[in-house]
Amino acid sequence: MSRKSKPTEPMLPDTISDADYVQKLQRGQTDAFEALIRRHEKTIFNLIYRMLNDYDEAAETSQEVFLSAYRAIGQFRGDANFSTWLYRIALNHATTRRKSMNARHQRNVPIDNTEPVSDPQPGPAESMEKQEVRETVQRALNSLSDDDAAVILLRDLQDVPYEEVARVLEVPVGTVKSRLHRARQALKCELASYFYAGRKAV
Amino acid sequence: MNCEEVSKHLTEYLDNTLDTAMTTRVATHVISCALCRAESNELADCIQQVATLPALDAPLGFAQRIMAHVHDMEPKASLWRRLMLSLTSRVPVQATAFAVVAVCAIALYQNQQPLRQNSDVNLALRHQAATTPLDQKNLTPTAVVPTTALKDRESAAKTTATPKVPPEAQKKAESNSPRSVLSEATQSQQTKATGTTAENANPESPGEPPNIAPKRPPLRVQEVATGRESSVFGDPRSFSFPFPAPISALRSSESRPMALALERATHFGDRVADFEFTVRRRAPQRREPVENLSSADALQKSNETDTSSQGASRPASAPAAARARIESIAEIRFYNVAAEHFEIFKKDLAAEANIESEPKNTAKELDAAKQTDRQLLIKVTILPAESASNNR
Repeated sequence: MSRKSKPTEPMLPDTISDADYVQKLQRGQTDAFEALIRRHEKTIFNLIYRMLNDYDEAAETSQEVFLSAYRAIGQFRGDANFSTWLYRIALNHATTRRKSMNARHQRNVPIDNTEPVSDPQPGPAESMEKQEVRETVQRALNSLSDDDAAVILLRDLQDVPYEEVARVLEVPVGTVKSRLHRARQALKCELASYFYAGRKAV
Repeated sequence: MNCEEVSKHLTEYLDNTLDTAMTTRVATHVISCALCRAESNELADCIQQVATLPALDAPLGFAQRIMAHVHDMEPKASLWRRLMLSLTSRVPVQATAFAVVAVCAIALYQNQQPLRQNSDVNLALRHQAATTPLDQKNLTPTAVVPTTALKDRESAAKTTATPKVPPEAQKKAESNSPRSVLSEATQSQQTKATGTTAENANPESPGEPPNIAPKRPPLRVQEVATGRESSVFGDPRSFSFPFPAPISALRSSESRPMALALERATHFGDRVADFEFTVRRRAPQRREPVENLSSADALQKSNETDTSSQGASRPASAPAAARARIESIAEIRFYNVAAEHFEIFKKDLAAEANIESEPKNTAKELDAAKQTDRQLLIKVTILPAESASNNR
């Protein structure tokens, strides 16, 4: 099965590794942190955005993630990759924010008033269909549990290897496989009505 | 391979993480089993849908905003790091310590200098106090007489009451240390009380050594500020806090720091004195006999002579040159004088220098000061000696 290339792969062609930047930062060269931000901002922002499905909340949470990383950079010992460490911080922040958003949503929005997810602007039929599929997938992701959403986003959105997912979630690789299987089944169930209704032929 | 086994490996099969043999076995079953094929296709579709979600760009200026926050948090950390860097930098700790010690030593030496210069003056004051009898009429000793002087008198009285040591022998012993204040005080008291040959040697002024003048309790005159100005540019030297000094120090060649220019910059320059005197230093040739009048000055002079004679490397003309240089300097001094001592102060001033201008109508001011028991602030402007100014 062909997988698309990693969408949030670092675009900077520089050869300096994350570990080098981290060492510089730990020696007091604050500018090194800007390089790390630029290298990982898109990855972290997209992961959090897909967890929260809210652009502003995602932007704010991503900023908190990087500031937390900066404050805790002294505790980073280099045992794992910087990206693994950053993913862990991001998922912690995103999970916390997700819970508070859900609580807020349940308090403020009536149950029968569903949030409009479709694009109101008219467009080409194909584009509208793609947009609808995306919104359906996003809604299905939002309906998953935090753990299931995290493992699917890490593996299927970010294309993170099993081993690194295991380090991020701090669970064995076998647990990652079984959790991923369970999460994919749950996502398939969420998307089943859409596929059975409109895309049965597929 | 049955459907259950395939379902167990389907996740890895879709992720292409199975080894070749296992991939072949699963693929064979999926192709042959419609149920497993449907399951595999649906899961693959889910994966594809998630993977093809568009990647959004981070908000504009995302990194800059975070770095702005980082720079806000930075100062404390950077200060500490800077400190640590300075400790581990190229400058060795020993060199830094040496520099600190050297600076402290210079600062201490400079602070000690005025005190050392003043020690001779204080010694002279103490000596004058010791040699002055208490029973001088119409001059009540309101000033604080140094305790050493009182002790000297007591010891002198004891010596007079029980003269166990013969006067000649004691005098001999004392002559071995002529600059000792204690022995001189004892000697002066003793000579008066016992009427020795020293007293008889001077028939013109019986009961009083010829070189001690004027005889009265020490006048409490406190010099509160001193300004000095070079004849050319103001020559700012250094600064010292006010300290007590006798009027005779007017003629002293000891360096008095604090430039007039500096004084003008400070609040001292704005002080309003009760009385102002303008005096001119006496030329050296005219001043020499005057110096003999005061025992304090005599003591100072002998000290200077001794110092110059002891220091072989020091040329004899050096003090004279220094004195000539200093005498070409104008000076302003402030004195705190009790109102009842104003006349004595004036007399002393006249004895030490030529008064060029003095305050008039002082009686009213003096009476007011006496009633309120406050001290007068007297400003004395000391002009250089005429010969020195002519030479310029």
